[in-house]
Amino acid sequence: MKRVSLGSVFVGILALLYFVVPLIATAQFSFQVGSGQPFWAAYASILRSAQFWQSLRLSLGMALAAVAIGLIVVVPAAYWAYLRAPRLKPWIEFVSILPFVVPPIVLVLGLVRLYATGFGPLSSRVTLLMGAYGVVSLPYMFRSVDTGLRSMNVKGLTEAALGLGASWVRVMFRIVLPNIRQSLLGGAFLTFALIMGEYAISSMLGFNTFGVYMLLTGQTEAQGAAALSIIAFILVWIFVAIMQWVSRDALTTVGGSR
Amino acid sequence: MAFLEIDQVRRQFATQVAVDNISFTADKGEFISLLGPSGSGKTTLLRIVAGFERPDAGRIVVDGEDVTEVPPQRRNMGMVFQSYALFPNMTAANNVAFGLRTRGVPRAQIEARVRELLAMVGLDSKADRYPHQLSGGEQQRVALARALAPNPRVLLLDEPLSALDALIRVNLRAEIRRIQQALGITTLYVTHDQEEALAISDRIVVFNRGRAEQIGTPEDIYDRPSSAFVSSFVGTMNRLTCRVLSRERGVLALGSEEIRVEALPSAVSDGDLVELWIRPERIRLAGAPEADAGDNQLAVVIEQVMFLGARLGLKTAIKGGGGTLTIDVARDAEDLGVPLKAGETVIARFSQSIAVTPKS
Repeated sequence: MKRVSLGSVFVGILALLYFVVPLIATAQFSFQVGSGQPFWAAYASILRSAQFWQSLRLSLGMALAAVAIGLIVVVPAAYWAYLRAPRLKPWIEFVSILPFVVPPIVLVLGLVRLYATGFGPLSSRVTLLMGAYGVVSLPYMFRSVDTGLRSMNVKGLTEAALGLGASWVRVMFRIVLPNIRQSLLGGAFLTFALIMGEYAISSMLGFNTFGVYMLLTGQTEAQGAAALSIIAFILVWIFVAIMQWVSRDALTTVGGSR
Repeated sequence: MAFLEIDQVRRQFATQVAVDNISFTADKGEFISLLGPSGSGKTTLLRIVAGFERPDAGRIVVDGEDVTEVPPQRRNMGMVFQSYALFPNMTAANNVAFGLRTRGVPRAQIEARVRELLAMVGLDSKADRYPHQLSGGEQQRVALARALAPNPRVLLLDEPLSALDALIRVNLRAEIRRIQQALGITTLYVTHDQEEALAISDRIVVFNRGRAEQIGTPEDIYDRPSSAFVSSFVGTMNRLTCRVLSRERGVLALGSEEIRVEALPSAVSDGDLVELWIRPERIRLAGAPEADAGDNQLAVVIEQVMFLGARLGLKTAIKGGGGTLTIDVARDAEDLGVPLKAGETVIARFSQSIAVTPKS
């Protein structure tokens, strides 16, 4: 049996403490409410707030939209680069990291300046926010998809499927997506977490997203902010678990006996 | 009429001509190997036949239908890849069923066909295993079953055994041939292994630098190579440079020795240089020169003896400066009266009926 070294156990414990202690401290602080109130008062107050639910709905919608944009734009582009234009891969990688280089304020100003008027539905603020989130999540989605495609024999599997009479749609849904499922989930998770906590873009575009709501709460109610952090933490994990469950259900039947 | 026709096919990548005006035909049920070294164009031609590459010129005709412009999805060809290319997210059974599902075959028929194919390749007990749970040989059997499931018009195999161990390779190649003959399916088989090609093919196309150097039966290719490349690529060939002493009498000078041959190429005349091609197993050994003048006899000094199991490989130097001669003898050959070890002199005998070509 493989022996676990003392050093790795020590590092593991250290890492665990690094992540868990702040979480426990935040949770404990969120329960320190004034006398005469139940310990869950801060949570109850947050959950009763209409603004909380409104911001949560908005951020959830935006996160799902960003994941969808990633799936629709990034997956086919990366797949095509692997299959037909491997020489374009460095350029696609370069484009994918641009959102890291361009500060959010520049991105928002650019988007507003370009699309604010005269582009019909594209000029609406919601579309702008969605587009901006699609762009900022690009590096996370692309890196994850790239890792998935790198680990599969893209050309061989595609040709095998085509040779067996499969259409391109079938190749994508029966071969490519199921085989990069884990990477897609990773990318979706990162995108989800990023959008749920995003503040700069949404505040500049005047939206009360979950991130903006968290900041505003933090400025007015200390315990409320701590409670909100714990709620956000739990929510992200719940949504990721739901995504994983849904995608597992959808993708494992792909190779099934239909 | 030929079932598969490859007509003047040409494919160029940048400045390199990968396939240079290749033409040959295959009859229904024929097994043709495309044999050649790496980069000789055999896989490119196979991919052109499969539809994964477009030729710059030429046609691919299957059963009278020109499929040159038909996409691979609609060619109905079964392809087995060197890397197996099994779908990792599907079981062996689902891999085999994939091509049937794309064609909308009813479920009951799919199940029966998958069972039949997996039984044919001896994997009916492993239908529910995923590719990573199968050995390399088993994966390649699944790949073969998957390619055969939709009843393809042509079976294409791209070095299917090259990633396997020697013993599995020998067993599986015999199995591929058995299944191919049982189904009577026209097959193109890419390999760089000449022994493999000789063992299982009806005909072989030898590739060199994008060109078909020779097309013929395994016996033709081995016994009557049409070029120096084929002679050296397929099997081992002794190539001895001689000078023509008398074209009329078929006498050649090999170093200080004289050789007699039955026939010389029409293009050579006295004084020209020619090459003698002799297979190592066509040379017999004797302890001393024999009186019957039928065969050529050369005194050779053994330089190295290689143990090859049932046979011995001798590297020898021809006395009189004629070059080196590789000789292949059975281990249990009759006693020559001379031990087969380095430094000993023996007599190498070979027939006068040997191939002679002008020295290029």
